[in-house]
Amino acid sequence: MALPFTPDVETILRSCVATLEAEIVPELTSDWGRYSGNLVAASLEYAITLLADPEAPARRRQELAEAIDTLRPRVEASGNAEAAAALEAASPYETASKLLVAAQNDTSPLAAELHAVLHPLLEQQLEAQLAASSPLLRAFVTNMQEAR
Amino acid sequence: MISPDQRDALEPYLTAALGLKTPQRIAHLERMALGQSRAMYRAELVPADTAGDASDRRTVIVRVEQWGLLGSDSANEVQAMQALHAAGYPVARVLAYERGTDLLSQPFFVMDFVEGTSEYTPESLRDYVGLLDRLHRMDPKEAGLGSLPHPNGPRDAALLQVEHWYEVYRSALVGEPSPLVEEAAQWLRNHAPESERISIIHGDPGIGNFLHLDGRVTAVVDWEFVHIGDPDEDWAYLISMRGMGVMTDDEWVAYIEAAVGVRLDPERLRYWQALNFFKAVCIDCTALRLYAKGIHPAPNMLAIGTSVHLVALQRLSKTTIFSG
Repeated sequence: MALPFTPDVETILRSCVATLEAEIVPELTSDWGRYSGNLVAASLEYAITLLADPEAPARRRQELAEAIDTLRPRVEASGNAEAAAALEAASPYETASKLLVAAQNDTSPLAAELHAVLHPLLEQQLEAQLAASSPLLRAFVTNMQEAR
Repeated sequence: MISPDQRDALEPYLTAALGLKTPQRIAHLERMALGQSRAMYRAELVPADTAGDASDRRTVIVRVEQWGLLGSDSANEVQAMQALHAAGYPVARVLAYERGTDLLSQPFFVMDFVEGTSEYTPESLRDYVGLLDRLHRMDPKEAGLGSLPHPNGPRDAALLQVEHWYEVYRSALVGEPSPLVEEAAQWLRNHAPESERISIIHGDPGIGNFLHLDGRVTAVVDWEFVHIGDPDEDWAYLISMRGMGVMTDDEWVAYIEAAVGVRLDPERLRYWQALNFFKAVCIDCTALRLYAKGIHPAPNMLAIGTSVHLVALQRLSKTTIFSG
């Protein structure tokens, strides 16, 4: 008979995390085994977070592209050749990279505008990615402290 | 991990490395949960034809590269350790260096096991700070490290580091470039300070990277980032990376001046702190590449390549250098 119910991926992964933390890691006798076990559990938690929002990478890319679009007229009118060339880059990440580099080489008000538009967004994206991967950071720091 | 076959092959290698006539066997081999750039194993050796009581045992450390993780190889590390050991600096003696990959799949070297704890005490910290200053006052050529790349121009100590780590980051990219990293690289190029002094730089100094017994440092460890550069780079690293949480930046500056008479300029310190954050950001990318490509799919690679990288990038980005 076919299964009447298929457990969802998150439930399976959470079971793996709980079993690793409660049953397997405490039984391990080697330092490296416990170290790795803690990080495997954290990797699973990270995976659960990523699975819950599969559109996040595309959304971040789109947000950056839209931010660049708001800057486009100002850059094109600025006469800054380095910044204007950045608009021709193949991806929003490349464009943003080149715009911020151009801003570092520029002392005009354009530099401050590029910074003011791109930095808050990039920092917000960084913080969201850091929050998603925080189980890894916790496990990593705990492991380092225990190793001493 | 070292496989059973590799362990068997390691026994005659270690016998030769130790210069012993009696064949040795590895009675105990353990991966140490320390360090990230290298896989570290503690190997206890006994004569192959005995059960091996305590008097027969000899402990060595086998330090194995991991596919270029963190952008360094063992060549400079071994050279520096050998030279500094010969100069009387507290460094473990290197017993053998294997550049080939036949034995353990990766290059590795073997060094003496040094007694000591990495848990610092006030006494050991003061001793260590004195030793770091002593390192900076050694002449690289006289210490046998004249072949390491030497900065020539007044700003080269900074610029060589920026370009080196930028290249490590670019070659490790597995996806899009990171705008915040690219921006930081350009800021560091544009603001590179002139160096007042050039010396041997440890590259990863501070708490956790020295061993001590009863407050006296027995070994300074982890030399994979050794190079010739500006001593402020090491002090900034000590303060903002390994010393973070021990004292505030201002307290560290006062502590270092009181301990060894080195006066750190706040603006220069801030630059070198930013450079060290940048270096961390760049080397962490190598871990993500190894993980994403399936070359080294260990969970610590994922942690270093994601969360550890992002924390360093956040610190870099929050450094006020980008505010104007």
